[in-house]
Amino acid sequence: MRKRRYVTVHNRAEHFLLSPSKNMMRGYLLAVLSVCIVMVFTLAFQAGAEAVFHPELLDDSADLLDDEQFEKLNCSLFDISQKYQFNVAVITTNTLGNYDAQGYANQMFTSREYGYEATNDGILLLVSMDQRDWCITRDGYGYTAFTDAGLRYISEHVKKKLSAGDYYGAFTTYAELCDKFLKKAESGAPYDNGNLPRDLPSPGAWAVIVGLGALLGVGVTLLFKRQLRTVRRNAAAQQYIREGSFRLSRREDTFLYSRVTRVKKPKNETRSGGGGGGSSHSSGPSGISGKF
Amino acid sequence: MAGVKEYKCPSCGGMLQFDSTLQKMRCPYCGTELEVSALEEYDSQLNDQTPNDMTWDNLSGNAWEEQEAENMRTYICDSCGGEIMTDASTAASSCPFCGNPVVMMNQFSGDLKPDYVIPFKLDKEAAKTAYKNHLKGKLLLPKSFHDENHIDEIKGVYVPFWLFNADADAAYRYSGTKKAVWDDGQYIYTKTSYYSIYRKGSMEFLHVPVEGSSKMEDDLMESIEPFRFEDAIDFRTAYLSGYLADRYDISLEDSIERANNRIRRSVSDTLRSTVTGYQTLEEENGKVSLSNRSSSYALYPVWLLNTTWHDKRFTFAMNAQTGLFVGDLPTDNRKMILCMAGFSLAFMLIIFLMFWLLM
Repeated sequence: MRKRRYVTVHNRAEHFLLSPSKNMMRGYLLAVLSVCIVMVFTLAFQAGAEAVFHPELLDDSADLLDDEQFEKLNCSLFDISQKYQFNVAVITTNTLGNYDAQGYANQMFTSREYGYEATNDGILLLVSMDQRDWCITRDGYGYTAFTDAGLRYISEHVKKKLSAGDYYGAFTTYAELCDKFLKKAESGAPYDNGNLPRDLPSPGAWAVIVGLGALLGVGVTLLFKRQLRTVRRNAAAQQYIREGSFRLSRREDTFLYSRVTRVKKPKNETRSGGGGGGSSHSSGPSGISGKF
Repeated sequence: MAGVKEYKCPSCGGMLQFDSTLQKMRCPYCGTELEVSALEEYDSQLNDQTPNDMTWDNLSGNAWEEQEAENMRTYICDSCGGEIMTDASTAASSCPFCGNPVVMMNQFSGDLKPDYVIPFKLDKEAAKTAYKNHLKGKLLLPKSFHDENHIDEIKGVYVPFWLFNADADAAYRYSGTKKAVWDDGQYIYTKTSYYSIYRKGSMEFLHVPVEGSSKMEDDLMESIEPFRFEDAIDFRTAYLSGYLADRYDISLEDSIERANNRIRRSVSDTLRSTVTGYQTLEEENGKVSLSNRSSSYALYPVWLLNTTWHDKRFTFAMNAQTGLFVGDLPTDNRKMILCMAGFSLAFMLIIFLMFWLLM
């Protein structure tokens, strides 16, 4: 199992702090310079102590991504987090332990201290492989940028790819949609019921659009062609029945027998998702979960 | 004995014509109008005094082969003396020299005389207008057909029809099914009930027409139906003047089968329309018997128009009583492909927009 961490700013500060101590062993002539260097790095250390804490935004414990995918996604999540000062995180795991997906995700969100700087502004996508669970949970500003309807929208797109086994695709879709939702939220009108982004039709829908359109086009053209054909035989003599002369003298509908057949009713698909919701900032992280 | 029947104006001696608008005989030269009945009385009086000289029969000389001679007739115009040549079944025409309308009496002599005639209600101009309207609004009609809109020939023809009257008694048996569907949560049940359906009824058919001229295309004539028999009057030769009149060359006996087929179909359709409420319905058997059968022979008025386009002849027909105009027109294949592509794309766009707005 791989364990990777993003190198945080305060780590870097510690590295720099170690190197000037060796220079102090050099000659007197360098003393003034050393003092300067000590002063500079002392200031750097102080700055480092106040540096922004960046939690691990991508944890692929289930090993679903290769190295290149990991790097790309990690950079992407980091960039989004920096751009909007809002943590966008992904965690994959093989097991949820004693938790359900929502509980596990909430626990991770809290324990890993997601939230930009001192806030709890963040969103987390959790994927667990043993029971094929997924969950998206958010907190803080996440409640504003990602409404319940917005979370459902994102989860539908992510779930499709998870179900197809395209994990990298699912995570990049998640990252892209988070970027899009955060950008929209910045404008003051976050995506919600009624203004969710519209998707291009799926390949199946395209087939229906093209097929039905062509069928109607050919049908209308044939109607115009039919206009040109006005000569046709008159198979019946309906116009020559004397009005009121029709008499129905016998009318019998005799029931003979009946047969009953039965087929097993197809089971209704259980809709995943739901679980959570809530919109109070003080209630901690919450979101939406299901199976893929 | 064959002859040419012309009606002279009692006022000026010009040849009278039947005016379809006035429904009277009218002199085109002096404007005198005469009721058909009055003219016939007047004409019979004239005939008593001056019988026609029916010598044309001797003139059909030896130049014709025997078979050709059977199908050709020549006449001398009483008005100008010009010789008129037509085929054997043409009963009315106009003199090509002086234009006077003539009725060739021999076409009806020694043969069945028509019982009824529906006089022309619509004139040649109405037929021309109907033809122009017929070409309008036809998206796939070749533009050149529209632009080169030349009518080669336009003629008013009395077309012979056999008319059949009968009372039809019919009994039909059908098998039908009704379906009911329900479910109990686990299974979907379909109950199919089978029925035997019986219908017996009667109806009267009046004046079912079957066209009696082999020169006319049956489908063209059936396309301009119906003719309203209320306007039919007892046959009088006076109505034929100015128009062509075809004599029947398909016998009454040979027309019966077509009449029977049309009657049987209508009986079947009518009885079937009383069977409702079934998901499936099949005709098992049916029997139609006719009683009070009678037939008659009538001449119905038709305008025939011919035009040629790209060496192909197109024939149009107009019911000269009701104005119904028919005739197949050519299709512009290039336009058709463009239309298919254009309409398809338009519909695709509409469906896409609906999808976009609703989803």
